[in-house]
Amino acid sequence: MTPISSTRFDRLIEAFTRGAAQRSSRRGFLSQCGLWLIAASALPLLPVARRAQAGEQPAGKPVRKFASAFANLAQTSDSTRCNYWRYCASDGYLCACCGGGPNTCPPGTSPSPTSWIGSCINPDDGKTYLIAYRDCCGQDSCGRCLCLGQEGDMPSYRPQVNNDIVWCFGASSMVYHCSSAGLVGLAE
Amino acid sequence: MRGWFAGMSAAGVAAGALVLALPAFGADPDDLAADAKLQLAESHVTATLTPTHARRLFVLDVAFPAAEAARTYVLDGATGRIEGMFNQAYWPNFAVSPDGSELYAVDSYWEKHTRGKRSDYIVVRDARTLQVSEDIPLPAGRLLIVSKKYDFDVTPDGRYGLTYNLAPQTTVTVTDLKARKSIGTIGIPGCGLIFAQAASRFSSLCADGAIATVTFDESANGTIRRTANVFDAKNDPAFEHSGWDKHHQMLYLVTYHGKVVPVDLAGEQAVAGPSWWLTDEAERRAGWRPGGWQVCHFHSSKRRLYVLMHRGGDWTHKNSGTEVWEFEATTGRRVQRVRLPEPAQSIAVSQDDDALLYAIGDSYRIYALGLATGKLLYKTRPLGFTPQLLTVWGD
Amino acid sequence: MRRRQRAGSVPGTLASALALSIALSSISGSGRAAPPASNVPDSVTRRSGLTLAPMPRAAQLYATNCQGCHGELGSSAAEMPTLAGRVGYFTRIPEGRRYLVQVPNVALNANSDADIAAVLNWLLATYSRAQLPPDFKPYTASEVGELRQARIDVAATRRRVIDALVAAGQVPSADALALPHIVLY
Ligand code: HEC
Repeated sequence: MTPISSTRFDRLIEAFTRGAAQRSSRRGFLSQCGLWLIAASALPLLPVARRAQAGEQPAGKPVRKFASAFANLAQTSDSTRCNYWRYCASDGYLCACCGGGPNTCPPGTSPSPTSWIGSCINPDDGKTYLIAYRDCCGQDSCGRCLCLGQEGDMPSYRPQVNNDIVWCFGASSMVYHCSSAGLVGLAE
Repeated sequence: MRGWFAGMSAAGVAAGALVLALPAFGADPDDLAADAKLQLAESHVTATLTPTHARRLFVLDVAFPAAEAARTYVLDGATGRIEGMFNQAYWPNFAVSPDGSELYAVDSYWEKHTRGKRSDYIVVRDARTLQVSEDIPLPAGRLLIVSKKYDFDVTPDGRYGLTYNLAPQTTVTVTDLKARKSIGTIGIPGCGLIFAQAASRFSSLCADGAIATVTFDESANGTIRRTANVFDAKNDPAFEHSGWDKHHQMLYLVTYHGKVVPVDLAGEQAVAGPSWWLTDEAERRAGWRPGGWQVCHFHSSKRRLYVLMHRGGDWTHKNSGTEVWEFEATTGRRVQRVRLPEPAQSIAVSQDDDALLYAIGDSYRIYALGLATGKLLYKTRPLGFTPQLLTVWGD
Repeated sequence: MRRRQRAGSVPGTLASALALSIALSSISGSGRAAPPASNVPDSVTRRSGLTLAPMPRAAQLYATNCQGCHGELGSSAAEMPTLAGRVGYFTRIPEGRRYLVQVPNVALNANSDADIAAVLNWLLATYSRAQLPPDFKPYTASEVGELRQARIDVAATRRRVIDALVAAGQVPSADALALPHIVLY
């Protein structure tokens, strides 16, 4: 994966400024970017309800610090990789690999005012944040960095928590290009 | 173009290119216009498919990296040989008419590829020639979503095509496939998916875990009857690709955690039966659970349920399966565990007595196993971009 | 695809973000001192200096259950009715009060009656305080539990409620709650 410049988006304020809510999500096949969720946790809770747990770490065993399997392997520095912490429920091509960023749509596309909201644990502070998975729309699939996060993904008869729907309502076009992941806020 | 074409008329080249790669089932007479006759030892014809049969396999490739390039491949399920292909459009659906004579593609187009006016159609094709016989407009649109089988269904008598929409009010458009026109749209507030069990009836799964059954008339006026909640939509939702036995009007809901809730869809209101587990306690402790895309399939005359299983924790419901577990649906007894030669996202089972199990492997190869023997019959080369859904006649 | 304007769109400025977060915390109602805001450890926010304080529970419920469609400021794509500056009118008559619980995404929501009551009270106070009747009583869990059993024909019920609001002089104009005409594509 070629890392993209981060200067494009790093001056933008996220959170509540430009429509932070979002949602993306798309299809089921393995990421070319690598990360596949490791089966681990046993708690049937939505990620937002998963508290960081000081996990037992027997010598020589892999670290299992959080109840979220995704968070245990996540990092906070490279948004062009599937294990970037905000992508725990993102399904689709990463805008960060397509000329945009976690909260920036690539040129030629536009964000939908609609989205779906998931929650991910930041591995550096152990806190749970709400993430708006918002689709950038207007060109056909970007085709780079396909990632499938599944945490909190529910069937489409619960649309507000499903990551397969093309959430391009209200965008300039109903054609899906890539998935972004903006911060909504810090969970209580 | 091969060298021996040099010097042929332009018309001859074009016509020849069209038919070059196709195997001929029928022989003469050829399809060339009289004035475009080639002076060749062999003449060219366009192949037609044999009539739809139990072991024909349709593979919907959603072509995710270039989603407007979606297509459906037609395969001989017994050998894996590609028999044909036709283009579909954006995040499409597909179904075979109950009598096997027609293929239905539900497609969305923009007039300038990704731009301009959008139009949605049920595209009707002849099942033997793959020629389009009608584009039936869907004026109320349809949901664009990574293709799910039950966002489109055809009533068992073949009369109505039912397409799901979330805009984001949730509705079902009723299309008269015989009269070739949409007759209306029925609201199914808070519900989604379509399981068409009777001539003028379908059921949907609802956000609160209820089943809504809609009985509609010839003008697409619907009456909704809802059950109390039959599954836990918050903590253990049912897969969208649960086990659907249209012929016995039974829906076997399979949940993320591996519970089965049989639901009788025969009447005006659905009735849930006692639930059972795919796994015993030890298997659950070992992490066995269902997962994948087309997670379940059903063999109607055997009344068997097939489920893609893997070992994993929570939120692995889209992980590929390493095994397929076969169950007697009416008793919950497990018949066998089939270890797959390659993890798979989607499965289907041919509806004949000596049933074949088809799978889309993670390498995008399609493969088939004899269910009685467990023997691998073939593995195709990777097919298309991202094959996603399997359809067999009568499923 | 034609560009659709965000109905009643709110400028995405830092000022409005701050206003919103102040509004949010004033409704949390817990009386506790607001927890301190902290920087989000992340390659984007480390540089932007963004800090976040924990969201109140009701705001979080709205965010995870409703905001994706209705927007973080109570307005979004034209397909979704705007809540901001409007939704409070419905509570001025009993049938309207019932209607808000009975729209499908509320009634069929997977959360508890208490959570639904909390999110409705929060959104009414946050986005439409000025439209509430002076004697507005917050929804209770038991009221929600009862009302959410009903399954309504949304469009017909909405029409009936609005006619009644107009007849009772409870809305400034007959089209105060009109929905934009939605051209599907
Ligand atoms: C999937 C998108 C979606 C989600 C999620 C959603 N809504 Fe809605 N909401 C709609 C649509 C569409 C309507 C229009 C009525 C209908 O459902 O047909 C609506 C209508 C409403 C109305 C009535 C407004 C009016 O002017 O008639 C209220 C109130 C409301 N929603 C509140 C909520 C709340 C509270 C939540 C979260 C618990 C929520 N909605 C979640 C899409 C959504």
